[in-house]
Amino acid sequence: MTDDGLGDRLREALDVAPSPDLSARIMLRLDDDARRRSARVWRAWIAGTLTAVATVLVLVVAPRTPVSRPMSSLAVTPDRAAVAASAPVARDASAEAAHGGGRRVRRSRTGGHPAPAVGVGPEGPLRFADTASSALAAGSVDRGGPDSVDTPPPSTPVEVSGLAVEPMALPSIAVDPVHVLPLETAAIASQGDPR
Amino acid sequence: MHERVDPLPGAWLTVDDAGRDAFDVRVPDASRLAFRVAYSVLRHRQQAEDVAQETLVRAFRTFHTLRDMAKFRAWLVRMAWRLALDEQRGHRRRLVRDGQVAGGNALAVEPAATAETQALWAAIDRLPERLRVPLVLASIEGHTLPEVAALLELPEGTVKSRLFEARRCLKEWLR
Repeated sequence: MTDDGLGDRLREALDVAPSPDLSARIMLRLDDDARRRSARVWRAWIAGTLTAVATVLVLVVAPRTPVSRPMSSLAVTPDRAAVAASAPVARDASAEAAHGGGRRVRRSRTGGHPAPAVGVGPEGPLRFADTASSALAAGSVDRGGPDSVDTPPPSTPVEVSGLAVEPMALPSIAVDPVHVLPLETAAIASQGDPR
Repeated sequence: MHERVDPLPGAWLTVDDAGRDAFDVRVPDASRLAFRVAYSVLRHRQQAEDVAQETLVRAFRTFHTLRDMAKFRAWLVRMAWRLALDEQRGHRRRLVRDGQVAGGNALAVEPAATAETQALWAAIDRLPERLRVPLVLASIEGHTLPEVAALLELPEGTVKSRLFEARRCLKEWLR
């Protein structure tokens, strides 16, 4: 880059030294940046810890509340009060100890979810399972069977132009196509297609 | 001259002490290099120092991602060049927005620049970037051809041909 003095001119134009304290200012800014990043990391840790504590509190304390009582404590038994007072609590405590604590969801006929409340009983809200089992025990509900179910009569094959067609097993709803079709269509159907 | 501030606890999560020390020893040389690269684009001392600061801060944040320390200067040159171009575009946009320049083709040339220097800068500005970058890098700090090739991560033959073409254009325009 020394041909024709162009290189010298370029070097002269570009040979500009920075301020003597540029490095010191950069170091100060780096320290400030590191300090701010460190503070940001601490804030993130504190926020994460608080969130974890809140989550643990919700998961541990919430199952102890009456709203989430297990279904077994609501079972309809003659000595329901005594069973609800002693046995389920001990069983729950032993089950939690065996699984290391924490919340456990008890499987039930409702798929693990508490059944919706259908009323209020002496021991708290009554679930649908309680009322259903009570009704079954009292015999006021039809348990089902051949007499109580309205099943359609067995269908018979229909002879259509020499072919035996097995009708589909549908509910016995007698529908007259002539009554369903509009009047003009029914008339055409009864007289034959003019074409 | 510079009093090191003790890092807060938890700083190890971002940049460890070894990485910080390895970066600190490079700061004086790197700051001068970043300033000159930025000055070659901006031709304004204050803006170039701001860009050099920003370049070093960004380099510090991503220093741990650099695997080959031999490429630190090349990495820094590219970063400083990009930031300087961004600053140049931002400066032009501000000038256009404020109505000071109609076409947005003004640079913050220092008032002390002579007419001859301004003509030289105008000629350099006319060069395409692929010719301007090697020319500027070869002119600052006495970089040799292999050094410029290493900085740009280009073959030496490519850099040589680009330098020849850049010089030819400049000589023609400055005649």
